[in-house]
This record gives sequence, C-alpha cells and structure tokens, in this order.
Amino acid sequence: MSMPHHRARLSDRFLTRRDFLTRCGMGLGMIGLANLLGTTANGASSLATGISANSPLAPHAPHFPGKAKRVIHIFANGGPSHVDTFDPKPSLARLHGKPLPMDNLKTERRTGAAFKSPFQFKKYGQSGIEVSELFPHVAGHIDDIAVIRSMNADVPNHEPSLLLMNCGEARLPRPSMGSWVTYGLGTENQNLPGFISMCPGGYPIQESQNWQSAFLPGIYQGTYINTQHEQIEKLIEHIKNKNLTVAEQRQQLDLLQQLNERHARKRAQDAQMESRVQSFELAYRMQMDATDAFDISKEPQAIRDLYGTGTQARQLLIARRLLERGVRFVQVWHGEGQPWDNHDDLEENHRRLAKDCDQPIAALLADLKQRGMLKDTLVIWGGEFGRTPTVELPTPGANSGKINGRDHNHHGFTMWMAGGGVRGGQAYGATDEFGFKAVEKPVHVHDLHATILHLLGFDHTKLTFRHAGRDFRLTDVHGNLVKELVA
Amino acid sequence: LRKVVRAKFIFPFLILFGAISICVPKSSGAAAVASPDQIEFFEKQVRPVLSDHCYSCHSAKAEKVKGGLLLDNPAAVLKGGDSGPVLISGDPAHSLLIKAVRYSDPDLQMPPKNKKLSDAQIAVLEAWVKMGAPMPAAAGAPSVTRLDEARAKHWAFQPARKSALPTVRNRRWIKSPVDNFILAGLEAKQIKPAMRADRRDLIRRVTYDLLGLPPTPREVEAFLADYRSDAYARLVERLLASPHYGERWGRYWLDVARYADSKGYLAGGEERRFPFSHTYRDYVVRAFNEDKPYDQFLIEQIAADKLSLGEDKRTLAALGFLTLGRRFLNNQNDIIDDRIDVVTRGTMGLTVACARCHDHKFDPISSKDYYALHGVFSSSEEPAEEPLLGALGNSKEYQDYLKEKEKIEKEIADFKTKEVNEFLEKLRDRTGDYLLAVHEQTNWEEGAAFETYVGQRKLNPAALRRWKADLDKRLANPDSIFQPWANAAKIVWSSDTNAAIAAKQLRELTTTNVVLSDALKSAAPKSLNEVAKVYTKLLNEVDAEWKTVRAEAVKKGKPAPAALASPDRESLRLVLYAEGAPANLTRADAEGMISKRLREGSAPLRGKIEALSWTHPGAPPRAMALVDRAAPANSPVFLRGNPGTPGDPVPRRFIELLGGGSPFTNGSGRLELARAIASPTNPLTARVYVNRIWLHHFGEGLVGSAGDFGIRTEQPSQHALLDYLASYLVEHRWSTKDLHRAILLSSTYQQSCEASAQAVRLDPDNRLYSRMTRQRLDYEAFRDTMLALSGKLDEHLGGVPVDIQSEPFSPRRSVYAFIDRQNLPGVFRTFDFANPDVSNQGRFHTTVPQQALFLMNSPFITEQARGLADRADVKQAANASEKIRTLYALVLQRPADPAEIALAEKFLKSQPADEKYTPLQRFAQVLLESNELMFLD
Repeated sequence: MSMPHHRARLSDRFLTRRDFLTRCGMGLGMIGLANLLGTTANGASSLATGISANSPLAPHAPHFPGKAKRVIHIFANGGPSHVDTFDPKPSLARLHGKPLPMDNLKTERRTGAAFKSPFQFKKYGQSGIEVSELFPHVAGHIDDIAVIRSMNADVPNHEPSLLLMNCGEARLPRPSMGSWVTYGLGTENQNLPGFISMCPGGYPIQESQNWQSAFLPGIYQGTYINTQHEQIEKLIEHIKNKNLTVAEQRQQLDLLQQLNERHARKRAQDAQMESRVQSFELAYRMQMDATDAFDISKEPQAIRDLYGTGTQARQLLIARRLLERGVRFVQVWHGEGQPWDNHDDLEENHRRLAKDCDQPIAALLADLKQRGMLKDTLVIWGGEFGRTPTVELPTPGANSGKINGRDHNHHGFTMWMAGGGVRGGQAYGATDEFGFKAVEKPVHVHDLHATILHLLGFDHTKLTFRHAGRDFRLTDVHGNLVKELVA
Repeated sequence: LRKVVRAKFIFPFLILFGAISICVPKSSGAAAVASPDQIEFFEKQVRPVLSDHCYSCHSAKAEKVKGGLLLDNPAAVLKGGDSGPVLISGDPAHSLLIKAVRYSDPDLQMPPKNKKLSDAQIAVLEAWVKMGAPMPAAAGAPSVTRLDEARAKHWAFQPARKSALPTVRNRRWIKSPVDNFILAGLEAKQIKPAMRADRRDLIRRVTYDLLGLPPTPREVEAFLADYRSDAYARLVERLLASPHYGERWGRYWLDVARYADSKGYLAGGEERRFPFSHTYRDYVVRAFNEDKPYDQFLIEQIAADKLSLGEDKRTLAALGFLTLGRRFLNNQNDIIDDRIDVVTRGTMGLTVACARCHDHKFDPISSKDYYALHGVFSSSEEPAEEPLLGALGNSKEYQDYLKEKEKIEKEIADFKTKEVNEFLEKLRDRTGDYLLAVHEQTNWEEGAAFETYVGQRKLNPAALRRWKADLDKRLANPDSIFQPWANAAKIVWSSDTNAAIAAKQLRELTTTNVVLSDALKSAAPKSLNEVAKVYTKLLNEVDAEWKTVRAEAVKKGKPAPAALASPDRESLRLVLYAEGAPANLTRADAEGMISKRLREGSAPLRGKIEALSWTHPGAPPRAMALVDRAAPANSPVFLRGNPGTPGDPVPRRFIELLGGGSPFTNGSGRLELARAIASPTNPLTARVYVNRIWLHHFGEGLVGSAGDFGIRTEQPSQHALLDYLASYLVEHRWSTKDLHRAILLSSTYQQSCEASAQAVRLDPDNRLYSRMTRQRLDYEAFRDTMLALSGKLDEHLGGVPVDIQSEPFSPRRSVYAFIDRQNLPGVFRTFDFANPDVSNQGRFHTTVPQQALFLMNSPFITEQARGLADRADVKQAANASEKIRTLYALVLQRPADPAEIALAEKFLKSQPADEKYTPLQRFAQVLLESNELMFLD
C-alpha cells in the first residue's frame, strides 16, 4: 500500500542532504544556483523550479485529483445560532415561552422555554433553501452552497469545541486542519506563507492553538495576522527593512550570494546550502509580493464596493487576494475572543454580527465565481457549535440575566460549504423539530474533516504523520466521508 | 452470534460448516502466520468494526459473552461459538460471520436489533475472511508468550551486548573504540574514510558542538599553534570543562523534557506562568556541567522527593521534568498522560501513551501497563507550596526582594483595613434595611432564593443572619428599642388609613426610650418601610454624634468618653457598638464576611507578590516539585481511555515487558519506577540515551527514531556500535562526558565533510560514516552566535527566564528565553525550535524564506551587525581592509583572502555614508547572513 504522505523518518522530507545526493546528484542543484546568480542583478524570476525540490512547502500532489485546490475557512467564532440563520424551526414560534415537549438537552448552562427566532426566514434560489433575514446576501448564492444542518460535536464548551473543529481533537495538542493541508499539499506561492490565519483585534479563545502545527514542523503552523492593522509591517513580521532602500538591500544580497558561491565552490554540492541561498532570494521577493497581496487599495473600486466597508470586508478581500496568489489555506475569524457567543441580547448581537459579514461573504463567493476560482476553492462557514433553541436562564456571573439569549449547543448545528467540488443547492441532514439535536444523517466534525480532505484529494485515513510511535491523522480513528456533499 | 444458538434448525448446518472448515490453516490459527501488513490491515480496518459493533458481546472484556463466541483472539475466532466455527478461511460467502453481518438470513442478523453494518464495514470483514482472518496473537493483555516472543524477536528489548571490537586493517586510524566499528563497516565495502578535517574546521566544529558558541580568534590561533600530539584532546577537555557546555547539552535534554515556562491555555485570568520553571532548567544545566551520572539524573527527575538529600535541596528542582508539561485546562488524566509520555518515551523510547485507550497496537504494552503507571502519577501531587531549594541567605538581592515584598504586603493590609472600615460603616448606616430584611425573609436556608434576595438588596448574608439572631435574642425580653419595631411589624399597614387608626398605630410604637419614641412620633410613619427609615435615620444621628464627641475629646486632649451623656441615646448607640452587636464585628469576623471581596480585590496585589517571587533575582528559588499523596491508590483501566468507564484496578508497577510484575510498595512508587528505568539491566534506557548523544554529534542518530525503539523500529545498521556504547556508558558510571570523549576523540568524528568520489558512490547517504555530515546551526546556536560576535553576549549562568523577543534585546543566551508553550513566538517556530508540548526526538531542519527575512530585516540582527562593526577590535583596525580582516577572523574564524577583501571594499564603497547604518555595519550583516557562518564543516 503506497502512502505518499507517510514519512517514517523525519529526515526524509526535512533533511535535504539525501535528496540532494540522490535526486540532485546530476547537477540540477548547480543549475539552480547558476540561474540564481545570473538573475540577481534585477531580482528577476526563474527561481521557482530550482526551489521546489527542497522546500517543505513545495507543491505536492494529493492521493487523487481533488476538486478543491485551496481552502478558505470563515470562522464565526463563539457559536452562531443555527435556528436563527440556516435552520428554520417554525415549531419554536408555536411553542414560544412554553417548555419543549422533550427534556432540554444538557448544554453548558441551564436553559428554559422554547425561544422562537426573532428573524424571518425565506426561501432562496432554485433550491428553495430557507435562510433567515440575517444573511440575505449569502442566501443569494444558496444554489452554490451545501448547508449541513446536522453538524454535531462532543461538548458544549468553547475550548474543546474550537480545538475539535480546528484540530480534530478536543484537548491534546494536535496539528490543525490548515497544517495538515499545507503538509499534504505544500503551497503554490513560495513568496507567501502557505497557511494564514486572520483575526482582527487579537486571538480567538484558545489562541494560536487553533492553527497549531503541534508535532508537524513549525513551518506548517498558521501565520497569524491581526487584520485590525492596515500597515504591512504590522501584518507580517520582518517584512520591511527600516534602514536600507530596496536597491541597497539588493546590493547586500548580491554580495552575500557571491560569498556563498565562493563558499560553495570549495565544497561538494550540498542541497541544504543551496536551499539557503535560494531562501534569501525568495525572502527578497516576498517583501514585494506580500506587501502587494495585502494592499487592497490595488483593487478596482467596483470590487471594493462589492465587499463593502469594515473589517470583515477588508479581511475577506485580503483573503481573496491571498488565495488568488496561491496561499493554500486561509482562515478568517470574525474577531478576538468569541463574538458570536450571544448568551444575552441575541437578537441585537446576531443582527449586528451578521450585518458585518453577510455582504462581504457573499461578495467573496461572487468574486471567486467571476474569477473562475470558486470551482476549486473550498469555502467553509461556521462556528465551533450552534446555540440552543431554548432560552438561557439567568446564571449569576455568567450572563446578565436578561433571558433573551441562547446557550451553546453541540448536539446539533449548521455549517455550510461552497465551491471546491461541493454539491451546492442542498440542505443536508436535519436537526429535530426544535433544532436541538442532529437526528437525520448526522455529520460529526470528524466526518466534516474527512469530507474536506476528500475534496482536496486525500483519503483522510492515509494522510498521516508518524509521531511518538503512531501514525497520526486529522481524523484520528474516526471520520466518514459524506459522499452526498461531494458534487 | 446469539441468534445462531437460538435458531436450532441451523445447528446441523453448522456441523457441516465445521467439516468444510478444514481448509482453515491448522495449528494455532491464521494469526501465527499473519504478516505485518495483514496485522496493520486488521488493526486499522477490522478491529475498529469488531470493537465498535461486536466486542460488547463477543470479547473477553464483554460484560456477558453471548453465544460463547469470542472475536478478540485468533484461537477463539477459529474455534467459533457454542455452535461451532463461524468462518471459513478464504471463503467469505460461506462463512457464518459474513452471512450474519449481511443480514441475508432473517434468523441470523448481527449485530442484532437492526444495527446492520455499513456496506463498507461488511466489505472490510469479507476481505479479512478472504485473507484468512489474520490477527495479532492476543488482543487482550499481552500473554507471557507474547512478551517472550517480543523479547526474542525485537533487538531493542534484548540486553545490550558488548561485543568484541571488530578487527580492522588500517589500525592506525583507530583512536577510539567507535572507530573499530565504523572502519570495519567501511573496509567491508572497500571505502576509505575521509581525510581528517582541517584544524580550523575542527576547532569550529567541536566548539559549536560542545558549547553552541563560536571559538574566538585567539582560541583558534592557540589551537593552530599547539603542536603537541594531544592538542585536540586538550581542546576537548577545555570545552567539556566550560560552564557553557551545560547550557548547550542541557538544552538538548530540555527538548526531551518538553520544557516550557508556561502551562498552556487556561481559562481567563488564571496565571499561566510556572513560577519556578527556571529552577528545573538550571538544575539540568548544572547536571550536565557536573557530569551527573545519567542514572542518577533520571532518578532525581522522577523521584528526587523520595531521596535523602541532606542540606542541599537544589536537587528537588529535578522534578520539573514531570511537572512542567501542559496543563490541559487542569484535566488530571491528560496531565498524567503527558507525564507518562515524557517519562517512557523520553527515557526509554517506549510509546506507552499509545496504550491509553487500548493495548498498544504494535508493541507488547498493555492498557494495564499504562494504568499501572497512571496509578503512580495519580498517587502523586504538587505540594501546596513549592519547597525552597536552600537556605535563604542574606544577600543584598534577597534583602531587596524582602523589602519589595513587604511593600506590597503593606498595600494589601491597607486595602483590607479600608474595606473592613467601609463595610462596618455601611452596616451601621443600613440598620433599617437589615431590620426590614429580617422581617421579610422567611427562608433562611442556604440556597438560590436566599442568595438572590440578599444579592438584590446588596446585603451581606452573614451580617443579616447576625441581625436576625440579635433581634430574636433581644425580643425574648421586653426591649425598649426594638419592641416598637416588633409591634410595627405586626401592623397591617394601609395607604388610606383614617386619623384614628393612625393614632392607634402610632401608640403601638411608643416606648420607654424617649428619644426613639419621639422620633417615631414626629415621623408618623405610614408603612413598615417608613418605620425602618426612622430607625436608620436616628441611629445614623447617634453614630454621628458619637463620632463628633470622640473627635472633640481627642482635639481637646481629653480622654475619649466611654458613653454618650443621654442614657436613651447611649442605649441607641449600643445597638451599633455593644460588644457582639450585629454592626460591631471583630476584624476577623468582618474579614470573614467580606472574604470574597477582599480576595478578589487583593488579587492583583497578591499576583504582584507572586510575580515578584518568580522574577526578582533575589527571590528564594523553589522547586516545581511533586510529592506522594497521603493515600496512594491504584487506578482502574479506563476502557477505551474513558474515565467514565473504569475497569479493574491495576496495581502500581513497572511495565511487564521490562520485568514489571510485582506491585510498587513505596508510596506512589515513583522511586521504584525511576530505579527500574535507570537500571543497567533495562535494555532501553542506556541505548536510547547513547543514541540521543550520537544524534547531536552527528546530526542523525544511529537509530533514526530517537523517541521510538519499539517493534516497528528496525535494528540499526550500527547495532553493535550502539550496544557497545550503551555498555560503555554503564561501565563508565553513566558518565555523559566519557561518552562524549569516546565519540569526539574518534577518527570518525574528526573526518572532513568532503567525501571521495568513491565514498559518495558507495555510501551516498553516509550511513556508513565515510565522512562527517555538515550541520547547520540550530536556533540557539545561531542567535547566541550573533550576540557573541557583536560582543554583547551575557555569559552568566542561570536565573529567571527572559523575554528575548522585544527590544531592548536581551543579551542572555537563548537557553534562558521565556518559553510560552501556548503562543510560541514566530521566530522560534520559523527556526525549527523544539515543540514545547511533547517530548522531542530531534528538531526539524527546514529552510524557508521566513528565516532569511529575519536575517535581512529584524531589528535584532541589525543591532548585532552594528555591534559587530562597532567592536573595539574592529574600530581599532587601521583601515578598511584591516577591518575586513578582523571581521573575517571574528565571524568565520579564518583570514580573509585578497579576493574577498576586494569584494568587501567594493561593497563598502557602493554604500552611502549613512550614520545610522554605516557601510561597515551593512557588510557585517552580510557576513552574519553567510552560509559559511551558518554551516559547520
């Protein structure tokens, strides 16, 4: 059984000495170096081929051709309420203020009577899937979207649920989905990080563990970007030199490469040293490319209008620019902490949060589509769980006792996916009559992961990494592909 | 297959099956001949199906085995159930098992109750039967035979044998026993070893190797000028004696120990920093510098608290090995799992943590082994206060620390006094509110209703209870002050009361205390609420009067009066001030009543004291220790790793494979565990350690997976050498430095990196050590080199961890960096720093542009480039070419050649005369970025 991503020894991918001796022994390495030195005067291109062989981020083929080439995961952190967005429950209106005819399921806090959605639902598109008034723009794309109404997770707490959604394991340090994908596929643009996680204002709950590489090499960890900032220096570390002009820095690098070439000339070819030579050229170009990628002022006015204004619009437009440039995995968080966690004042808060992101998300879908990118870009939307259909009761110290919000709900919630080989225009699975629990075709987070990896061309049981005596995978020992979600 | 048994008419049919089943391999069944691939297939595909859907009735662990059928071991599978065999090897179509899961027969449906397996799961079982139902020997606890078999088969489970030194032809090449093994291998393939490395390369190589720092130009010149035959051996001795050796090699151990200075994610507000993590780090550095015998080193890290240490308690810090892991939101089982992993994988290369949910899938380690160790660690706890590591001493720094601490303690005391006074003042001010509350409150039970009541009225619950007790007591007898209140409480107050009733009500409020009586009369209250207000107002007045009287007495220098002059007013005063009055509390009682507020309010200050004890250089160091619990207890096996489904308890004991049979008897058993690991007869411990040491000298271990010596790790090609060195280590009192000597003094180590064409052809990946492997500086060596070259490096040892990320940049060595395991700064990650969450078996070696960006643009590098160009020895150089020569000698430890000087001069001329970043500083940066600095030949 061939396991292209199974590495018995660390050195097989990350120590390049042997690669060089076996693969580059015929002088390919030297050709790369010659090219490099020949082009440094103007910093021009032609580097990419020489670099790929040795970089841990070089593009790799998956197990089978996947429809999705890249991923954007829009994380509505805090837990958006499914019965107020994508999972209409008329029974709640009927029972509003009365107890459910079932025991309330156990969630983090006590909840009481049925709590009808304050928002109106309406059918959209040819598929006629109902979406609430919170997401009218997104709903305009419903025929491209697979709404998964039967998501479920393990516990009603943020920390474990965030880790489960991101890393497939609720407590122990495991690599995040973005790390796995970047490890499996590499990235298309060596001048940008392969996996970027954007969150305005600061970290979400559980912080950088959400995009951790854990036991995978650090290079697969998400690069965190605080999209509250607008200046490039604040977005990416060490991207600009404060003391040198570009031309002066080029002179420095020219000298460096001359010294490196003299050094190499006295020694047998060594892929590690060549890789390092090349990494300086990549870094040099990264300074321009990254600056350009984050500069949304380069977008035509019509596109900027499409996305609208505000932080969500800005970060989603940046995300599209990154995806377009070959970044493999982009995660876009709504904001620091847990913005969607509306234990109180659900109506007011959900309305505000959805207003922030509805138009930009819809714009992203439209924009990807018009560029022909939606077909191979997997767009994922959702939180770490949903919210109860029942009203949260006062808990001193935990909520403000207004009795107008909902508690966390991992028993059933909604996520949606679009593009990248997803069969759109369907509502998959269902929660019970009230939206408490996934009862029809339940999709566990592990199943979602298996399906996402499948869309990218991976058998989730075979994308593994040997660590501490075990071949670890994103889905651990779980996960079933949900075939109906695949076009 | 329960239904098979019930459906009697099938019975004769089964006998027929039995007849057919002769094609099943005889002897002990299919498993004996199962290949590793088949085992893997079983473990990955088949076992999950059986385990999830069949084992609840058909395994040794089933509560009640149904139909006498077990599907969890090969012999039982072959035997079948009460009614005979269930499968025909290679013939799924006719196997009862497959028929049952296919649901093709309405009387034979498994799993029962309409829980049919998915098509994919059925296909897996069919494929399995088709290949002869291979499965591992035993799926329960490893049987004695399984352990014996593992010991017989797997090289690393056998004792290390010290073989005779291989003989070689080129005996002159032999400088250490290591060379016999290496040269024999080379000679067998007719490969000549590489030349000895150039002496400059050699001093550079070995200095970095042992210290993680570059040699100075003086050291290089001295070595080159030393023509004695033992010059190199002397060099090695000098380096082994340097205190920086411990900083370098201690750090390698910290990688194994998944060392960090923080606990990882914890809920908001909880302190994440370990208070004294650095005492463990300093212990490790010291242990290497003192060449502490490795067995002792291990015993101390697992059970220092159980040793008799004498006066010097510094050894207690060793326990940080266990305690400094991630805290997993304080989930005890995860913390224990982390400790089991670091101990077993870190010291023995055994992946015991794999047996948390089920028996290890490859190695003969059972869940029982795991939970035997679980019991050891769950019988250990962190002491309430970290133990001091030594006498307090009387240094100036310590005195400073005490002064700072006292200052904050006084702030805390002041804060408490202020809070208590405010509380008492409020109690005296709100008499009426409490009176009303005593009246209204009918439910005095602890509970939500009571709490909500007092919460809404902002009353202190304890004070309210005292008021009730006090009132009850007073009203047991006629009481001139509270009788009117008691009467008022009985009145049915109404808003439209005629004058006569009002007068009658007012009469009820008459009392012998004229002051009170008058006050009530003149207020003419219309509700109980208004009566309460009269009490509040009057008592406030009396309190104010009392304060004024006392203040005036003080002003006039007279003794303060003991009572108010008017007896009526005095008895009102006593409501507030009599001993034991509800508003007159002792300080301790008052503090008790507002303890939550005091605790919360003083938290930042207490945090300051705590932080002071971690960060002040004079703070007494303490150990992140572990002690045995008063009542050690065995842990049950958690079925499928779930603490909610405990199985049978397992005695605390060592791993069976390695001789652990008898239960531990000394407390938690940590000391016995430690001794079993650090035993010369443990086949793994010395081997694993020797391999790690080799790994850091040569860039790769003799065994590739330094943290896994289990069954799937093949016997290394240099097995004999590994065993030789393991025995050597034990014989040399587990001396790490002796091990270094054996390796460093070898010709093998001293080879050049340049291989002959013949060696490249015959030994392309240098598995035979036909040359030295070129190595790249890791993060710490790289950063420390920058500081050393700029002349800024702070060489003192130990101390509290420092932030090395922000400006002004710390000049301390990287081993002293604060390691935040939750949000490890990007630079650490970029440069392949160890993962602070798991025991590391080596570092990754990636080459990515982010590393180059750091060198090109980070303020840290700019600062070091400036420092380097501005060093006195560079400044003093007469002219540009001399400066260039000096820089070459410092950075690359060699003379610059004329062409290089020409290149550099040309560069200097090309750069603008910028004061802020001079041409020479820019040139210095280029040298710091060069491959020649970064790679060690």
